[in-house]
Amino acid sequence: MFAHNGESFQDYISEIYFDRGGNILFSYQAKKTAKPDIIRISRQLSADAQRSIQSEDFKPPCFSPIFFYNDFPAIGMTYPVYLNGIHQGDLVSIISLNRLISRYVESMKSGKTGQAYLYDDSGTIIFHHRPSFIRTNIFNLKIDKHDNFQDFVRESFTNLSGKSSYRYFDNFESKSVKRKLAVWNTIKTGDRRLILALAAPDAEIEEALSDLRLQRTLLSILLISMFAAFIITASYNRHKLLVENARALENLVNKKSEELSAKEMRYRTIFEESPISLLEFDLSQAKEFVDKFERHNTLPIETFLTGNSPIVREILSRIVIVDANKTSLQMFGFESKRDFIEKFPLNESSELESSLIIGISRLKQNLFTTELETVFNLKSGKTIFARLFGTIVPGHEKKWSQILVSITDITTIKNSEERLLISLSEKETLLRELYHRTKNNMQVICSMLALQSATNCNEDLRSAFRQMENKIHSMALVHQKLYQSQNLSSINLRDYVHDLVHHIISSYEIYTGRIKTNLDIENISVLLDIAIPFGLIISELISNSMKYAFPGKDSGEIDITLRREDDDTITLIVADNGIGPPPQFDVRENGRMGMKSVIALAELQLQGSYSVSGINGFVNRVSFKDRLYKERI
Amino acid sequence: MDGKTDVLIVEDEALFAVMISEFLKDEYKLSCAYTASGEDAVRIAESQQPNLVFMDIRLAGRMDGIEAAEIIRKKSKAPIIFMTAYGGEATRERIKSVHKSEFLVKPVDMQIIQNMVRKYCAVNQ
Repeated sequence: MFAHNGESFQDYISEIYFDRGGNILFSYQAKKTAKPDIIRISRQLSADAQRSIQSEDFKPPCFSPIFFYNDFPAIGMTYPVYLNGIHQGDLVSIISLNRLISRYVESMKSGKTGQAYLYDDSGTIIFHHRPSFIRTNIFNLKIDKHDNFQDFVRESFTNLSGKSSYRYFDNFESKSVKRKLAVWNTIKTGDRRLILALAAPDAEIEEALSDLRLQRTLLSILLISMFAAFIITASYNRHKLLVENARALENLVNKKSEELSAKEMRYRTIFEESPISLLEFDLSQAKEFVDKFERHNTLPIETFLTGNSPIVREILSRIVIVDANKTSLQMFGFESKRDFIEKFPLNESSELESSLIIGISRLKQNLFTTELETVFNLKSGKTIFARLFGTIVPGHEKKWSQILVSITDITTIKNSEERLLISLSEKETLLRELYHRTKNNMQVICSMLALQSATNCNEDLRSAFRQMENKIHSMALVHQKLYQSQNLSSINLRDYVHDLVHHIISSYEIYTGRIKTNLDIENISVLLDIAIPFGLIISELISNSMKYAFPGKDSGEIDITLRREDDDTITLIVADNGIGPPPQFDVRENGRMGMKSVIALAELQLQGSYSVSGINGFVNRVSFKDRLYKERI
Repeated sequence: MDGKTDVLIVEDEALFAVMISEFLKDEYKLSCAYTASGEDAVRIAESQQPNLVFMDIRLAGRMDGIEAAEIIRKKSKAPIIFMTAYGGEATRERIKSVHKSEFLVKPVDMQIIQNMVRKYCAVNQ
C-alpha cells in the first residue's frame, strides 16, 4: 500500500499505520511481522503525537525521544494523516540509528585522543567509543573533579553548532591539566535534536585542522545532517502519499456508498412494491428458546412440540416480525406498518401451531428453504388459507435471525379444492352406483336367460343360453368387483377368476363334483378395459373344456394359471386333460364362433397373442400387455 | 390374408366383429376380414380392395375411424359404413366429408347389416 520512493527498509525497524480507532491497517517490521512490543511502542508514539497535536501548534511529523530497542538506539516518527481537516490515522515509523552511527560516527576520531559523542536533547548518550557511557546522561558525565567539561555540554544545548574549549585533567597520560577543544553540530529531527560533538586536545585539533581526518569528520557531520534532512523529506513524501491514498480511499468509499445507497433504494423499492406479500422475521429468540428445551429433551423436536401447545405458543410469541411490505399490509387489512408488526399474527389457531411445528422441525434439520400451508385471521375477522414460502437469508443460518417469508392467499384455491373433492366424492358414489346397477341389470338378464333355459327342453338351446349367461355373468362380475374396489378403475384378477370359474363350473350341473379345477393365479390387478375381454376369454375357454373335453368321462381336471412375466406381459393358460382336439384340427380354420371370439378378443382387443396345443388334452395360452389402456391413450 | 376379402370390419369390440363376420359368412358366403386398428384397416383395404367396409369410430391405435376412412377413400372405392355409439353432431359433420359413406348408430340391428350388404355387395336377396 505504501511506496517507499527508493528508501531502504534497512534504516527502519518498523512501520505501522493505525486508523483513528487505533486499528492496524498496515504493518511492516524488517524481515517479520510487527512484534507486540513494537506495536505497543508504536501505539504509544501515536498517542503521544495526538496529545502533542492537541496541545501545541504542531506540524507533523512528530519525533519521539531517542530510545533503545534491543540495545540499539532508535527514534520514532509519527505522521498523523488528515483529510479535509479530519484525522484519519497515524503512520508510525521506528528508525534505527545504529546504521547511521556505524556508518559515520563510530569511526570518527581526531588526533590521538579525540572522541566523538552523540547525544540527544535530553542528554542521553547515544554513542561514545566507551560502551559504558552509552545510555548514560552526558550531564552526569565527569571526566574528573577539576575539569569544566559540563561548560561545553551546556553550551552545546544553547547553540546549534560551535566550538568550545575546556580544561581537563589527563589521568591517563601526563597527569597535567590540559585543554581540549570541542566542536559540535546539531541535527534537527522535527522538534527533537541530536547533537554530534567531537572533543580533542587543543594541539591535536589545531594540528588536525589541516588534517584530512578532521575534514572528514566535519564532512561526516554534514552528511549526518543531510541524512536527517533526507529522512524528514522522505517522511513528508510518505505523509503526502498517505494523504493521497486516504483521499482516493475516501472517494472510493463515497462512490461505493452512493452505489450501495442506490442499490439499497432499488431493493427497498422492490421489497415494498412487490405484488407478492413479503415479510422479514427474526427467529433468533425463538431458536434460543427451542434450543433450551431441546437440551433437556431426547425426543425429535416435532414429536416433542406436537400436543405441547403452551410451548408452541411461547415460541410463537418470541417470533419478531421485522418488516412487511405494502402487499402484506393490504392482504391483512392494515394501513400502518407499525400496527401490523405489533399485532401480527392475529390468531393462535391449531393450524398455525401445526405449521410452526413443521417449520421449526425443518429448520432444525437445516432445511433453510421451506413451504408451508396455514390459516391466518385478517383484521376484518375473515379467515384465509395461506401458503408460506420461507428462506433464511444466507449468513443467518446459525441464529435464524433473518428469515424472508412470502405469503400467498390460497383461500380461493382451497375452496375450489374442497368443492372438487366433494364433487369427486359424489362422482365416485355415482360411478359405484352405476357399476352396481349395471351388474344388477346384467344379473337380471342372466336370470331371465336361466329361466328361459330351464323351460326349454332343447339341449342345444339350453347350451346356447348357458353360454350366453356365462358370458354376461363374466361381465357382471367385473362390474361387481369394480364397485367393490377402492379406486373404481381396476380389479384383482385372483378374486375375479376364483369367483368366475366357480360360477361357470356350477352352471354345468351334470359335471358337479366330477371336474376338478386347479387354480394358480398371481395377485394381478388390471383396468376395466382389460378385465372385460379377459373375463370373456376365460369364460369361453372353460365352457369349451366343460362341453368338449370330457365326453363320457367320470372325472377330469382343468388347470388355470395366470402369471405376470418379467416384461409386464400377463399370460393365461387354460389346460384340460380331456380328449383333446380331433386330428388335423386347426382352431383358426375349424374353430366355432366361440373359439374365434377368443382369438379375436386376445389378438384384436387385447392386442396380444393366442396359441393352442393339443397334446395330453387341450392347452390354450393367451398373452397380453397389462399397459394396453395407457398405450391406447 | 389369403384370397379376396368381400367385407372389411373395423371394430375394437372383438365379439361384435366376430359376430358380424360369422353371420355374413354363414348367410351370404362372404369372405370377411376384421381388425381393431385404423392402420391395419388402411393396409387391408389397399391390398384386398373389399366391396364394403364397416367402420367403427373409436379404434385401438392412434388413428380414429374417420381418419382411417379418409385414407382408405383415396385408395379404394368401397362404400364405408360408419358404426358408432357416439353419434354427436361434430362426429356427423366429420363423416360428411368422407365421400360414399353412410352412418349407423350402435347398437346396430343385424337386419340393417343385411340391408347394407345386399345394397353394396352382389349377394342373393
